[in-house]
Amino acid sequence: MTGLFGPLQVTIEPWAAEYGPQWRGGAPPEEAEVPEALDVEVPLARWAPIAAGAAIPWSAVAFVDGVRRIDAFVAISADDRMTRGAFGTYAAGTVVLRGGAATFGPAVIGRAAVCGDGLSLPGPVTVMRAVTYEPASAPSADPPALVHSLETRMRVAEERLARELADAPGALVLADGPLAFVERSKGATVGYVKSIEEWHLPAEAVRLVHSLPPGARSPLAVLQSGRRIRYTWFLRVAPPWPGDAPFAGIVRLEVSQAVGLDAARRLADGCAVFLPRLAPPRGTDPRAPSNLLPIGAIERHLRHRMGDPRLIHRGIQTLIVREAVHRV
Amino acid sequence: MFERASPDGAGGTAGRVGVVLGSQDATPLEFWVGAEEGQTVELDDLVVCAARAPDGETVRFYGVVDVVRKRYEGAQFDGDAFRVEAGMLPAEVSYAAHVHVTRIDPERFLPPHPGAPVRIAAGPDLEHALYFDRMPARLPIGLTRGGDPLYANLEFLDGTRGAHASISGVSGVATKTTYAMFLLYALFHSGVLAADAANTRAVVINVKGEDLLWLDHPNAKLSATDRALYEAIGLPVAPFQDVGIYAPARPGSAAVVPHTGSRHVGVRPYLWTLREFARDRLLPFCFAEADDARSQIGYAVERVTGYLADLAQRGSADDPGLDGGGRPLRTLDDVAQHLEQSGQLGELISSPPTREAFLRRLHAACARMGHLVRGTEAPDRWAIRWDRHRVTVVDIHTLHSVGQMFVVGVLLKRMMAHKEQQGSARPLVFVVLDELNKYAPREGWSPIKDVVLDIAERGRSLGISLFGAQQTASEVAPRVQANAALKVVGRLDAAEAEHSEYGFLTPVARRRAAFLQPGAMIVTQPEIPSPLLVRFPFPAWATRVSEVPAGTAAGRDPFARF
Ligand SMILES: Nc1ncnc2c1ncn2[C@@H]1O[C@H](COP(=O)(O)OP(=O)(O)OP(=O)(O)O)[C@@H](O)[C@H]1O
Ligand SMILES: [Mg+2]
Repeated sequence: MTGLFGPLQVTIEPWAAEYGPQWRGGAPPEEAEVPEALDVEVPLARWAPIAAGAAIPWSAVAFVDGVRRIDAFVAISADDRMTRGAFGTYAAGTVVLRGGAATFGPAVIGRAAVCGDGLSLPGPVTVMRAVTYEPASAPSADPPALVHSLETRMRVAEERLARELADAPGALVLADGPLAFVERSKGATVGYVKSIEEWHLPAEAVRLVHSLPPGARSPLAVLQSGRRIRYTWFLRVAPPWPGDAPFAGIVRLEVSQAVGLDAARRLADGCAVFLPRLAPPRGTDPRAPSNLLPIGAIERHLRHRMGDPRLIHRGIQTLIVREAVHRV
Repeated sequence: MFERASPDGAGGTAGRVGVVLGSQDATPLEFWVGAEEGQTVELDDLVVCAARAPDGETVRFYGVVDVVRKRYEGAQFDGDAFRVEAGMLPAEVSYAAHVHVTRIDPERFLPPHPGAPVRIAAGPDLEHALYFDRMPARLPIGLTRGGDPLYANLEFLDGTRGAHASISGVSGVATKTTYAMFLLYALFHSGVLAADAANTRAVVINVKGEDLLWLDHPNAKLSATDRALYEAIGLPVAPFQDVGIYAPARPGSAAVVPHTGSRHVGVRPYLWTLREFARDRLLPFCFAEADDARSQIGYAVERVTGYLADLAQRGSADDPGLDGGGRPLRTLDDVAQHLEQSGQLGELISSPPTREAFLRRLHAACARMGHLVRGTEAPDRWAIRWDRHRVTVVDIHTLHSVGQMFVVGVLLKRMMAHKEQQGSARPLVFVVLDELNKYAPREGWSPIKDVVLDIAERGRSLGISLFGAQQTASEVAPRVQANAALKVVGRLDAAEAEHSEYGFLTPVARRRAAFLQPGAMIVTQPEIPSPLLVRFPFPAWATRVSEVPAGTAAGRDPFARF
């Protein structure tokens, strides 16, 4: 009997549609990250799920995440040339889990007025009380380039927070997203990657990852992009539901290779015990179950701290209109 | 437009508990306060915040906290509480209080500004919040939970602008009687009556137990805590002064002695002479049962009353009895017999069934309260002289309901007549009457209800102020309740609290009333637009023999030796 979909196996992408698909495959091959070595922990032939241990080796776990948004695009004319700019807000924040309590840790809010084509405003622009944009510049007027400029600032803020937290002894820092910076802190920072990029993994490795039971991880692999060399592994934080895509509940973690193989293995084991407890129940987060509770909380918290977007958009409009009238 | 004032605009930062919220509407009549980290805001707290109008004037908003709540800020799911508790999810707790504004000073109805600091109102601020500063004469009515004295404006009790208090609540828990007596105590002992104090009188009807027969004795069991409360209110710890106690003459006893249980000394028996019963047309007060007015009996009673009044014109005015056509009449029974045997009754009431019904009731009255009307005692010797003492307690608790109605009806009727004759609102008389639902029920008519209504409506101008108590205001004649300036509830049954009679309570106060403990009341008065929670101490006077200090004369039974 052929079903509704014939021979095709159609499954559900677990995330809400506005967040895009969790599986980001289909990108041009040159953008895919290539695992350097799959047999650092066990040979590929012996890859099997590694069940979580029991102990959590950290006295505190800190989560670091950032958000950013464009508050308003602006069109800029200079020397008869048309270019583009963006007023944007970014934020980085933390949640610390310690002694059975979760608390919001330090957070940073920043705003930048990014001009394209290497241009820059002469100085900071204050739109209203507590809303001041620092001048910034992007090489092109492409919207992604403007966003990238904001994102870079956000990453810097995230990294600074992560490094401060990682300096505390016995603490694990979990940063949302791939590790973008070369490790320079004393402690370890683990990158938590929710979306599944195109991977050039052998079919048996993919099958293994898809079949991971909840709380189990894959063996470690080595990943290199540029100068950054990392250990990486997959972890299932929540059981799949019927009809789910095979990667639902799978996340990828990474840590700088500088920590050493033993430390990386201990981190991987600890995360396998700890992180599944923090998976949000389905329906409570648009990216459940892979967007961990503390991370979702940071995002909501930061979005709120960035200020009401409509209010700020109107503030920017008002300011520019007033400036235009003033000039006439 | 309306700027927040500097902290000193509100009188300094001391006692600051939080700021006006901007996530909920802040209006001149109500607003929300976010509590600051480490601060506590509780129900009934009085708070103040200030705002500066564009013209520079500082406006203060005073109010009382009637809702307090905590919640996780931004929590979206009920399950978040579990996840926060398990240490998986961070959350900030928002602790907020709703403020019911009681006063805006000056009266500019502008909204307070979000973010404006809010302080606990203490000292002069508290007096402002509750208009105490505007009361020319203020009667202490108890304490806030925090121990600050609370007041009522005497002008609303002494007839100047209003009169009467109505106290409702569940039996035994609401402390209605005790609170009525506390108010009376405060009237006489706080100095609020000033020059009127010397002549002001109180009449207290004791309907239940012997609770009020000891109020001229100190309460030996009063705790140090309660003593301190009296001090905080500014009242002495003392029994009532200058008290006269009356009890019904003992039935079945030819000698006139008071019918009491544990107290014998210093109690005067009371009764009426048969002649005054007839002359003053008191018969209708024996027929106050609910159905009497509805039947034909009403007319019959009227005729017989008229006949007795005629009878009272005959013979010597000094004779306490009546002359039944050569036969001396000494008791109510004599009167009943005389009516039957002389054939008078047949002339007065032509319909045999009505005659029968009348007689049945007359005989019942004879049996139940005949001992209160005697033709053997000298006129005025055993009368209740409520003007002799500052406080007069009239005990009726041993009487049958018919007798209770009679005593209350006659007493109040005479008081009204007396005051009308005086034609002035001074001296003042305060009357404490329990079980108003019995004397002035919502439905029906009786001569007693008539006089209670009369007091409710005209007492104010005649200087009679009624402190009435009832378990359920919904069962009392609405006019009585409507005329009370001071409306008080103790613990209320939740279903009872829904009746419109309690419209003076805010919805929150209604719910609160179901939780009130003994010694806690909710009081509303005309000038304060919010009900107040009031605590009051145990009585400083004895309410039972065991509280009377040992060795006190009245506590001992002088006849115990015999
Ligand atoms: N200030 C007080 N604090 C606590 N308890 C009190 C206080 N005053 C009186 N009580 C207690 O409450 C009991 C009931 O008081 P009270 O007789 O005044 O109630 P009530 O409402 O008049 O009842 P009922 O409807 O039966 O007449 C008293 O026996 C007394 O022990
Ligand atoms: Mg009572």
